[in-house]
Amino acid sequence: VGGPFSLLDQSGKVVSNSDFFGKWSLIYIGYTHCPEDCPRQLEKIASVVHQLGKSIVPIFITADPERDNTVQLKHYLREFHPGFVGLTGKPSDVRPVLWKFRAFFRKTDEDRSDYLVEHSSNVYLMNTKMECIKVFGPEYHDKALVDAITKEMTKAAAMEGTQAL
Amino acid sequence: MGSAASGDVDAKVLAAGRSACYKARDAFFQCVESSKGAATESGTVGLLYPSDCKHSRAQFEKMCRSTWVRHFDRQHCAKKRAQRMLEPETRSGPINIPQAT
Repeated sequence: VGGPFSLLDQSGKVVSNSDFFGKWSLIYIGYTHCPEDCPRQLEKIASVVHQLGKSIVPIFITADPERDNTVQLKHYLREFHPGFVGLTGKPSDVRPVLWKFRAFFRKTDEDRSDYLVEHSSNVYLMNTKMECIKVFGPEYHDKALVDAITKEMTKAAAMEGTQAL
Repeated sequence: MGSAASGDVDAKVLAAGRSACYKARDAFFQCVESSKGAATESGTVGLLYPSDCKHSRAQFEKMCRSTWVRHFDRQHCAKKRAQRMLEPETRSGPINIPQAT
């Protein structure tokens, strides 16, 4: 799950997965025109990042690159957490990345130029090598996420410790 | 890049817009739940509501994007359907037919 990618962040800069090496990150795939689900999950992620207080980067990858351009992402994400990284790009660049994360997404309820996007709602925990360690479904509330992530970070640190010996 | 309206951010999807939409939505569905009138007005996706909720409906449709209105109507209908299936008075299933003795 996951893999190399090269997309645009909300400031228009090209960003690749290697830019996140050395830090843990939480990836959420959604879209800004989402009625309820995405805002709820993003608030949860912001709360988790705030509670963890360590260097974990929240990343949002859009499942709707046609509408979610860099400006849209900038305005949307800064309301949740100043450190949120938003990734978008040409649909042909974004779609393969969504597939790498096994994310389901489908345009639905098309009404002239408006539409909704049905999508899977998972939070991907990536380690310092951008390897996917765990996928959390929406049933995890923020306290459960904090506990689970802390457990994984501790486990990884312990393993690194034993490997260094 | 992306949409032709880059630089145009739809305020209804940002925090203040979402909050206003949710408030209008909750006020409308609260009216529907508490109203004693017959459901004669049509919402979207087959939703019916009483005419004394026309004002809150208009607010709901004004504050929320039309795709969101349909999404919330659909969600409300699904919730009602589930409630009907669970409540003893309305659920279908085995019925006791009095037997002749």
